[in-house]
Amino acid sequence: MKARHTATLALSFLTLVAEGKPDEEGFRKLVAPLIESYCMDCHDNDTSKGDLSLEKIDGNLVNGPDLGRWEKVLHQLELGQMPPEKKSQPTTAERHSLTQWIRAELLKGGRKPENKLLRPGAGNYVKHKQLFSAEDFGPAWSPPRIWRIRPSVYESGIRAIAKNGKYVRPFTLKSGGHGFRDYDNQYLLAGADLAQLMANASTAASQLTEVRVVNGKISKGNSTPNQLFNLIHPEEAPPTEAKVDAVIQWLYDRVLLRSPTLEEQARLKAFSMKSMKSDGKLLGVRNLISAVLLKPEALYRSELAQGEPDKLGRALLAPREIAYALAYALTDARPDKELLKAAETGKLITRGQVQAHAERILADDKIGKPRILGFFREYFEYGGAPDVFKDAALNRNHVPEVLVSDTDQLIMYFYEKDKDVLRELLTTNKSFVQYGIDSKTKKPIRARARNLGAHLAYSLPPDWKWIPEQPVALPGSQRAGILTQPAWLVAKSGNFDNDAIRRGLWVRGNLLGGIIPDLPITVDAQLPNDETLTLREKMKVTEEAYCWKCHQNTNPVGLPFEMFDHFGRWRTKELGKPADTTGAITNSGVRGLDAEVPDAVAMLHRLADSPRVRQVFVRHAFRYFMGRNETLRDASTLRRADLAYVNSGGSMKSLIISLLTSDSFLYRKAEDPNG
Amino acid sequence: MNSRRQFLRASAATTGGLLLSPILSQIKAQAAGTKLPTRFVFVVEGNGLEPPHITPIGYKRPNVHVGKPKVPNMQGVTEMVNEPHAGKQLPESLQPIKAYRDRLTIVHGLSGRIAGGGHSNDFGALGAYNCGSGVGHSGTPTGETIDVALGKKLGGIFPHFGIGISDRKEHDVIYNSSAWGKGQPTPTICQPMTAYGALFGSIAGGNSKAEFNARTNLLDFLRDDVKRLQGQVASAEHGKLEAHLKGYEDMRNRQSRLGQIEGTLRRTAPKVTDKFKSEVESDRLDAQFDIAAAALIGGLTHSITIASGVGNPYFSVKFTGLGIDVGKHSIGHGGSFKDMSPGQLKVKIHKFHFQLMADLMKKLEAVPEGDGTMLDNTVIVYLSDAAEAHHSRCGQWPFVLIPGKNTGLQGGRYLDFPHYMQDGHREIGNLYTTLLHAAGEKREYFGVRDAMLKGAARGDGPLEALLS
Repeated sequence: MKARHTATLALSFLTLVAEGKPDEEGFRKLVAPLIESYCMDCHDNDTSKGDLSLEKIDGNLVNGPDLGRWEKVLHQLELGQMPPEKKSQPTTAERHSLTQWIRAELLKGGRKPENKLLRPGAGNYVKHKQLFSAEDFGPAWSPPRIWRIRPSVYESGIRAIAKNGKYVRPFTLKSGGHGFRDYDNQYLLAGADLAQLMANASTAASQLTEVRVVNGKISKGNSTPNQLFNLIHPEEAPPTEAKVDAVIQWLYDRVLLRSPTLEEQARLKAFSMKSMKSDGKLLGVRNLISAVLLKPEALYRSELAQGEPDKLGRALLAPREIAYALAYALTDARPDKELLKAAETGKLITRGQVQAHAERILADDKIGKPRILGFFREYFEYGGAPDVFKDAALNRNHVPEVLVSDTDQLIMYFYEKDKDVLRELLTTNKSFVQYGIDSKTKKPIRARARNLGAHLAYSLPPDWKWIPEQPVALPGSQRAGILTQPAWLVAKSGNFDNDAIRRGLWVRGNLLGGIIPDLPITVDAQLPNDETLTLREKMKVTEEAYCWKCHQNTNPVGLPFEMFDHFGRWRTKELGKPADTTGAITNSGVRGLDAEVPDAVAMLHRLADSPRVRQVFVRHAFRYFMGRNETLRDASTLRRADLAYVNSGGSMKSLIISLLTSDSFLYRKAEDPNG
Repeated sequence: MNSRRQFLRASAATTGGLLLSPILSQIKAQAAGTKLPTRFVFVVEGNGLEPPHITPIGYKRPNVHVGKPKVPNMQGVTEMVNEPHAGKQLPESLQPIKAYRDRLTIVHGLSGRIAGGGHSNDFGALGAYNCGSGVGHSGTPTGETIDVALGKKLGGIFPHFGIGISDRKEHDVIYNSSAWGKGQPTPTICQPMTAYGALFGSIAGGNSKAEFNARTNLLDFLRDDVKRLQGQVASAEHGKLEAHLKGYEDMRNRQSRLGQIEGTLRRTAPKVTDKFKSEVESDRLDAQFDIAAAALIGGLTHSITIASGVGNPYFSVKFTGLGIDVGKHSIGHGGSFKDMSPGQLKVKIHKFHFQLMADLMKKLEAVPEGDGTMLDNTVIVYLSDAAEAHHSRCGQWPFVLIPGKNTGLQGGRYLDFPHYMQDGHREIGNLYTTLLHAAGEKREYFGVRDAMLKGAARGDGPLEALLS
């Protein structure tokens, strides 16, 4: 048996830096004993697993020699990757105090280590069993935040004030990678974005101050409001304060959807008067317009919750903040009149009031809600099908845009039914096929495609006649939900072949809630390029012990999709031999769920029955609608949302409403909630 | 005949003590014995650059079998080749720069396996790292790229300027080639008019001076607005507003500097012609080269990247202006067009790029600087973000360098480094280190090293063979 090492952890405090003094006592009393108890079995000098020894790690994190090692330790602890599952674990509180200590000490030295738990795609690192256990993690909240608005929200905002401008998108949402796109921690406004925002504001300002001269007679342009025309015309008239005030009020009403405070009014007035004086009246007025359009309030969603905290230290979002949060959660538009009115009259405070508005917006067909389909698109990740290049010579009937649109239709069909939504999306044999809507008549039409055979992706007969009554039923032995839709299969394929690894990754992460670490940079991740081998045969290279550590989690759940070719067509043969479509649900951590499966259809039916899969779905919905990863602190929100979904018979709307009325959505507390 | 220095003194006198333009200040610097800045132009072409397309006729580069599993697309040599290529005929692609062949250096044999490979290495091509681009999209930069690193070192009103074309005409700005640092991609402006506006907007239109001043006033107000908000948000959110504030401050600063060189801008701004707004991609690329020349000559930047259809999936440009009505992605997959094979199509497109570079070089050569011309102080670097092939594996990554004679880099050489895993082998990071050294920044290594390379197959520092 290996000898235990006692307090040999070295400590040196030779230098003190201006930012702060290393916490010697904390290290000695708190940190060293924890490292001793939980890490030294594997990370002493003798064993030093993973080339990491903590035996003589320096406790000075301010400017000591071991900062790199400490960051490694911090990441492993925060991600819950260490100690390994089979070893004895620190309590939640111990882990929390250890990570907080390391973080605080590193901060003293000016280092701000990333908290990898906050990354999109890292949500699954929070232990599922804990989240859905009976353990009490206290009431939920989110940290106060400002969050750059989405490009679509920006565009609808600027068009609401000057609709015909030729605007350029100043910023985008990240694409690719794992996880949802619109996270609060992903975006800054800097450099080129700001330059473009200014250019757009200037375009809008020119439109709003347009003056026409027809036959010597001066009139205002189409987009120019009276308030602005009165100020700029006649050109030689000096601006009056009253006219400037009227313009400021007009701009605030439309850009910020409120009245200016007295202080704001005075400041803007002073600015525009000064600018009119030095730059000329017209440019001064345009500057005033730009100044309002570019106010941070117009570019960030603000969720600061500056009201009185409750006894738990949490503050409810201000009514206007709730109005914006609800609008942006569900739509790409700013809050509507009803929401604003409720906020102004103090009727957007209780959970019931918030719920009533969420229900109203969801029920109102006139309100566009691209966020709903957006969630499913980002969750299932099928929207990228057109980006996967396929050689036209291999299949002239491949029309990925139509495939994506068909899958959109299928999702919205089950969303509208709102019954057992997830189960349907994982098991249905129904499908839309080349389904379009005529923009004039609003009636279904056959979606346009270059060639006549777009329906062949669904393995329908070549002479199949398109019908408007859709969805159609495909053979239940061939198709089971979104993951057997050609759009998904193509999005998760390569240029010439299926991509069982990425399909497996998706199933592992998005249905089973599992974790797959990033590809190590030393790995040359290429399958052999041998056309005589099936994909399954090529993937043999991933079964070497070093690779298999991760691939055991992707391959068995990815290979059942070998029942389709890389265009999403059902098949029974591959390279002239019967296609091997077997696989297995493995390492799920759920009793009774692991099993061998004959093909993807059987696997998906099995998964659709699992409460784990449902809960993982709920976790993903949480991330999308909150714009961040869940933490243990959000456990009560997640349990409540799951219950709402189950009790409503699988209603997506109930799930969304539960999330939008949760404490995580409504409360803020200025403390790092990720401990 | 007047000497140039006398001429300059005379012309400075006639402008009556106006602020010195960058050109004049460069020359003033030269007169005072300060070294002129080296300029860098990176021309990055999507879809891979097959090594034979830039190899002078007569050089042999046999197939190589290394690695487990074998690294595909590998040719190379076991012993370093380092000689002038003067006696050899240039391949078709390089014919347009024949007149400059004494400046032209071809570099073969470097690897960039760390970047990962695929249809594009995105930021990894100029960053010498892996940015996790995966299939379909361009990942996130994990560090600065060499073009930006050089720009930071060299200064300029715009430390770096990225322009180019994308296969999607609607793209105005894309982010997949250059980066300021980890998680900080810098833009590639895909519309010549947008690029023109960014550089020369202050002198465009009749009312420009007043607009320029009004903008300065607006920036002061906006800056103040952000500062006010900073006091209200939680500390975890401060970073966002700091970036916002810095953005305005940089613009404000740039505004002051552009204001000082209005005369230069007027002299150097390119003439806006139809090609700036053309539907035809080769026209727009041509316009971007005009802008690049003007930006360098006007001293607005010392580091420019021209990205011609870079990054996955935006590289599949159709060069209809060259009579090629098929996208580069299809060509990469062996697609032919009319009577031209994929190889011929690729060469035709490369040749067009070298023609544009030749035009740019002529413009720089027409600007006197120090004892020679601006071209003598400029390094042009040509590469593909997809290294050696449409489906790149990066075991070899060919480069064409056109260094000016005052840049500290050798022109007129043919260099073929020992192939991947062979003793004496070097990586693209070593080449980028060399460029940094040439710019006066002596780093040990730029980018991330390939962990598979051991012993003498790996080395720190610049490529000595390239330094003059």
